[in-house]
Amino acid sequence: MGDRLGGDRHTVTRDRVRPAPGTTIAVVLGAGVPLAFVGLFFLWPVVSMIGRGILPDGALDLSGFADVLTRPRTLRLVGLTLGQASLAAVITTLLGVPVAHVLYRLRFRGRRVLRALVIIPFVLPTVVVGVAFRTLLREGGPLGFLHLDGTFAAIMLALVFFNIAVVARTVGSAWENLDGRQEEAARVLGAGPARVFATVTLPRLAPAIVSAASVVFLFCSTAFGVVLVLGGAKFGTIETEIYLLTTQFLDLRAASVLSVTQLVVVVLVLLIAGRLRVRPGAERGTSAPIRPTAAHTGTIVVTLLVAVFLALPVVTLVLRSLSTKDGFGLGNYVALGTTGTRNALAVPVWVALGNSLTIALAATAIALVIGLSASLVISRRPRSLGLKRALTGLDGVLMLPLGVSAVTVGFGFLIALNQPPFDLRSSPILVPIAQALVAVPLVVRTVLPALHGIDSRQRESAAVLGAPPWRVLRDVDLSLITRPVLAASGFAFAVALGEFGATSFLSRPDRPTLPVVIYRLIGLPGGDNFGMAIAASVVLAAITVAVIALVERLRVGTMGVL
Amino acid sequence: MVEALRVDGARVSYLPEGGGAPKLAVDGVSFAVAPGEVLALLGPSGSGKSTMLRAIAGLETLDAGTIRWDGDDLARVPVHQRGFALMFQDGQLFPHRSVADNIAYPLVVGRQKTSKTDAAARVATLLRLVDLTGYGERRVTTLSGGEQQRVALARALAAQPRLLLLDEPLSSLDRELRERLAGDLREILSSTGTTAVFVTHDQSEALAIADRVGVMAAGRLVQVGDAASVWRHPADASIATFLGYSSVLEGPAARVLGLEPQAVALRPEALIIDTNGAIPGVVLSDAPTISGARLRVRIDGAGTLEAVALGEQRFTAGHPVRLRLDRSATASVGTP
Repeated sequence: MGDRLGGDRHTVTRDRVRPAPGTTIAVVLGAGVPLAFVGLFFLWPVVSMIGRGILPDGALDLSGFADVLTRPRTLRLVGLTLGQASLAAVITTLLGVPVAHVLYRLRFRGRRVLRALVIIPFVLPTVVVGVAFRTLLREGGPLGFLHLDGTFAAIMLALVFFNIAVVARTVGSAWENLDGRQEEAARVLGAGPARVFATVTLPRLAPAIVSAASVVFLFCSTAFGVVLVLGGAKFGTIETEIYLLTTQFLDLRAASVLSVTQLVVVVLVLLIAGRLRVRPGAERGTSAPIRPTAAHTGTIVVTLLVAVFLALPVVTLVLRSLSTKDGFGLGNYVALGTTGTRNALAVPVWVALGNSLTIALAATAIALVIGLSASLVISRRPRSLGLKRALTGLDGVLMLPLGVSAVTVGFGFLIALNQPPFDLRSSPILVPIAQALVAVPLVVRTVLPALHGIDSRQRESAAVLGAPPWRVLRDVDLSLITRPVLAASGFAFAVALGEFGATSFLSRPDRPTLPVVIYRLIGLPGGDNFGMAIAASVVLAAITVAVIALVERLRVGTMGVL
Repeated sequence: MVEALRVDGARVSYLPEGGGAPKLAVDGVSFAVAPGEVLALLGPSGSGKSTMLRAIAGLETLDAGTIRWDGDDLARVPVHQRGFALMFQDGQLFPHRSVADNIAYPLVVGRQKTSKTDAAARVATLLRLVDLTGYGERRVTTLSGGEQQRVALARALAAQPRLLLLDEPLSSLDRELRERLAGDLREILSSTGTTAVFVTHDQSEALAIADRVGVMAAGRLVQVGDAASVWRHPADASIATFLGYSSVLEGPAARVLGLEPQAVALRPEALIIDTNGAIPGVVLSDAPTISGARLRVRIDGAGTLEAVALGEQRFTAGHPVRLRLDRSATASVGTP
């Protein structure tokens, strides 16, 4: 009887929810702001950029594609991008799954701390990771004897370093929710541990694994900062090539063609990933983590090796930042008050840090306003099928900036927003807007699950007790998502702080951000500059980690893509 | 009858998940509720009773028909201005508010502005009413299921609703608690003179709380009347079965038991094993109960029926028995 009742209640709340009065108006208004924002600052720039590629003189001309895409250099880079992303996705998945097992299925002291630590690489600014691996691998560095500096392997190491967290967290939380009784049933029926894993566990984990791998593929195929710092002249991606074509060779048409190509690839991957995406809470199990035994030696060893691998660049970076020509000391940090050897910078590093913090704050505010209003609208369940589809569409459009490369966004801004009526190129607001664009999907992905988790009868209770719609919004929706909103703010802030792709295009020379300054410093080595770059990286990393640590303490279920 | 609530020809449809043609959840339902009266809508799950309740609250829109209060059509009155209150099966207390803040909620958002001191006094009164004095500062997440339902009731009453709607208010509780709370609920509703419509699938709950009972099946209101008369005269065989009668007999089959040929519904207790009984039968199976045994017996001309035995004696299949009929456990079907 209880089950039948539950089913009855479920149908009633999910299928036939009448929107509160005024929902349509609220939906239109609430959707309008995010749509206008994404339209003006994302779709329009992207469309302008596509226009550059296929309508060079106002007439349709696809010869640019034929021309650019058949260049040997382009072919090589497209192949390199796809190969590199595929290989990184495979390696990351192979290493990430054992880590997920250890962190989410085994019981030992400190696993909560380890789970939190494992996401640090993912949130580190790309430039910082690039600098860390340079420090580790260059001649005279701790692993200099491997002669990996400037090789494909170096890029691969950094990409894997970055994305282990994606696999560990995605697969881990799916694993945690698997009902352990199925494994127990298989064991009782006579299957050994390996067979149980292959025949019972793995099939149920597969959606999470595929989903995590496709996200890693996406991140790697649009990787910019790491590749730019580590790849040198020999290695690159479509992303770095767009950057070089724009800033060094001033070949805007070729850059447009590549951006369009990349856009197509990304949208395809997003569509595939969307089909495979695990619905959060698809399976809600009750299995408790188990005590490690000898049978788990394999995964534990892999996890320990991964831990060393993740810690090594970070530790090296911190140690190296403390070593100066005169031995250990704070010299590199003191030098952050200068503009570097041979006046490499326009402003001292501390000033750039100030810029970064201000800009990231502004970006966070924008991302919150846009992301929150979008989430509130998307979380509604309008009755009309048309509106429902429109909301799904809005959700998809808002996710696009997550996959479309930041460089494309920055490049699009340059093309689209430099003429009336939106001549914003000289406006200082452009950088926070670009950063917010990258952060909005993360805000939505953090807040939306929480909003979806609110029982619609909570809202109905409030309304029936006399609360007008705005009070329902305040007293139910907003009150219940305080923590996810705080977490999303922290996450957005960290992402904005480390954003390099779009910012490198848009930041003005007299107002650089910290990642831009770091990149400039490693581009002009000699004197104090490399040491300063490392010290600045440590500062940036420390702030990011501190913010993310606060976010982690909020213990919000889903965070962005993680 | 003086009417407070009047529902006329209400129809509500919904689009099934995964597409397809709209389905009717409520199909032409009409009834009225007098001031101070408690009406139970009784029906199995999927019968449309909850949807009917939500439509009265304004949470569903009618495809056809009207819902009136004191003669005024409510179609254009939004949920929060109807002056009703709805209590859900699982309370739906606001987890981020204390017990007192939950109860005070309708007072602060409300139609009638209440001062802080008045609100506090009212909360205290309501807490006393639901027997939870001193619970005001507790977090609602620390309460037991029964306590949560009491708080939900207090919160709904705090709104001083013109009409209180209750959606399976006791179903999520275990039986012992449910029976106790049903009594309390009856008492609170009548002492506050509240007009109420409540939805349940539980016959004894409907009997215990309601003045009148409406039986719903497949989106329709198939029978409505005061509780005792509904049980004494179920409108048709399927209603009788839903109301807890185990079989319905008609014509010659009824005659075998010495009943009139009109359709008659029997509870299991209607047939009692009795060596002096007039009706011969054969035992098919038996299962012990607290007061004796419950049997399935075959009676020539009447088919397989349920019966009870009092005392310790057990019966094996094939055992011939004699039975007597207890008319107080029967009901005439279809004839009022």
